[in-house]
Amino acid sequence: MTDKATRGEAAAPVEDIALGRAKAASEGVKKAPWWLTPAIGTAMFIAFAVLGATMNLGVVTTLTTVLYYTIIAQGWNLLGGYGGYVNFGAAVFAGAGAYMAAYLNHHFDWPIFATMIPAVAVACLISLIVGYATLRLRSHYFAIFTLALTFLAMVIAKNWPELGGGYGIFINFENDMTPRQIAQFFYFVLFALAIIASIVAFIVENSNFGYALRAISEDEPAAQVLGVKTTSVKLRALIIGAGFGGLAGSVYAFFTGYIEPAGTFSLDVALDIVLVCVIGGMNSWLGPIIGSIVVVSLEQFLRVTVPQIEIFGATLPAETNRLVLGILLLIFAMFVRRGIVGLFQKQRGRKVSV
Amino acid sequence: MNLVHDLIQPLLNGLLLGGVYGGIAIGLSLILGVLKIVNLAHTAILIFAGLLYWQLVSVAGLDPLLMIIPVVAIFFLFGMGTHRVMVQYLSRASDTTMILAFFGLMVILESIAIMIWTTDTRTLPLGYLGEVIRLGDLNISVAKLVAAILGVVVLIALHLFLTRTLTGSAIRGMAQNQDVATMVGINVTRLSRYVFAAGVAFAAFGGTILAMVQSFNPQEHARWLAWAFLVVILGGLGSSLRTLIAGLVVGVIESFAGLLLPFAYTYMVLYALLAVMLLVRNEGLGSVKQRTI
Repeated sequence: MTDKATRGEAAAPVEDIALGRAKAASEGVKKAPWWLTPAIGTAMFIAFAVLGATMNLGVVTTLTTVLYYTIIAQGWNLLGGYGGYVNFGAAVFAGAGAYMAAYLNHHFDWPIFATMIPAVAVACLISLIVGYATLRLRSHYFAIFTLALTFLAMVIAKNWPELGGGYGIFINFENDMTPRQIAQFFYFVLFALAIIASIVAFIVENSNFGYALRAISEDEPAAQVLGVKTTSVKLRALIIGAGFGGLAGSVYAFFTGYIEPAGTFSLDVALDIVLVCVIGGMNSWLGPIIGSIVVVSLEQFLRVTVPQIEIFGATLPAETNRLVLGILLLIFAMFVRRGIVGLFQKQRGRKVSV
Repeated sequence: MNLVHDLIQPLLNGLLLGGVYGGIAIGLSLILGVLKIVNLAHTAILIFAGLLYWQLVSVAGLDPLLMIIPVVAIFFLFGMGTHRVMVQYLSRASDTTMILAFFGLMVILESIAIMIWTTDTRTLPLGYLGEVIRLGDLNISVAKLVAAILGVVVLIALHLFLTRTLTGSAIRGMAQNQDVATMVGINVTRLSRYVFAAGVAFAAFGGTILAMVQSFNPQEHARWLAWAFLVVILGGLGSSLRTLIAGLVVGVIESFAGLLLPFAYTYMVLYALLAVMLLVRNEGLGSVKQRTI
């Protein structure tokens, strides 16, 4: 009894110091009200709806790309952001969905909404195979395997005659609408899907599933010891994410009307998606939305301005855009790890260690 | 069936290719094994070095064998700088951050390479290496032979360095446990920098020997990353000798697959092999962690 008491006394000051520090740290943090992020998200989507209904064709097309990236990035962010398992295969899942939709439309005249289900199914199936092979290993192997996979997907698509080979495949979207109506049709389809993706991300973020993913990202062995079925959680997150990729891909295939292997399975897509999440913020469902707006506007800006810049009388090549994006990724990865959303969030629970 | 033509010639081609593949993979294996960093920019560096080498040999008309030295030296310095600016800064950050930073570096290097050399496919003029040795029915290209010998020699030299010298022991110790290595008096930061720079220099070396045997273009680095990764997984992170053997195996498989199947299926065979290796070697890789290099 005395032994216990003395131990308790000896331990008490240490505990007090730690508690005191924790309290001091938490007092400094003004907790944002719980409704703030949903309110910001809703406001953004209302703004999207208003802009889509009122603006001219050019703006609507740009915003369509923003929404397309938002859907894929929300899916990517489940495993990449919350789980910390970065994958560079975003193009594979979106591209698989796009090719599935294009194939069904080209050969069997399936309409846009009917192709969505097979597109999601094929993306999920691919992600299941990939995830089963790599997700039991550390994140290194997953990252490098998905990077290599993009190249394999391109080779397969190029050599598969039914998928149009290297020439690509045309998609026929039958309608009697004006160009502006068509643009708005795709805009609002992607708008609806982006809302669904964001709601799913919001639910995941606030569920046990989301906490399990974050635990994996913090310390995987510890999460496993605490009873998180790590492989299964990661696999589920990957499959859900890939499903959104396939869904977005199928709509985008109809939107562009033509897909070909080199552009569909390009590392540029992976770069864009990773950049969207890193710039926006990988710990919040608002991150991908904000990130898509920033990245798409930046790319538009670069596309217009870079060819006008002259250095020693020579214009800069188009690759300068990618160089800028790469530098931006490096800077954000090194110095702004929590992205734009993180700049407004207070650091949680990292400052004190007991 | 002609034995020499159908069996020995592809086997020889495969083995020569395999020596080169060992040289391509060793930088990735070294950095992953010792520093636990996955260098996604590995093959972007490799292709960049290959293009620089092409510039020196083809445009400036310098000697192909001598020019390996300055290219490797330049990338050793580049590796030192990258470690100082980026890797050391991120050394306590999460794996995710490190992977993203290296992906950024990969994109930057690829973009610069395309800005300088465009996306054209380049083939190295071989000069005096362009000869072919004939042994009976066997044809051996001198360039392939030289590249394979260089790859094999460098891998064996690295193996001897790591197992027979004091610095090599220090590196192996660091691979096993950095904290304990610090305790026994190894300057981990400095040694990490040299190991990282050596890994980058090996990537550049891989680029030069690859340039001798294959034509290549700046956008192809993802393909070579898959190859290097396959060799690393197949060999494990255990030793450079096993990397060499894995390289030879991949070379021979590719050579025979190319003979039996259409071109595109060669990739599929090797990717399937990669996926199977990842599944099968699951525990192998885990246990390799304990006895890295």
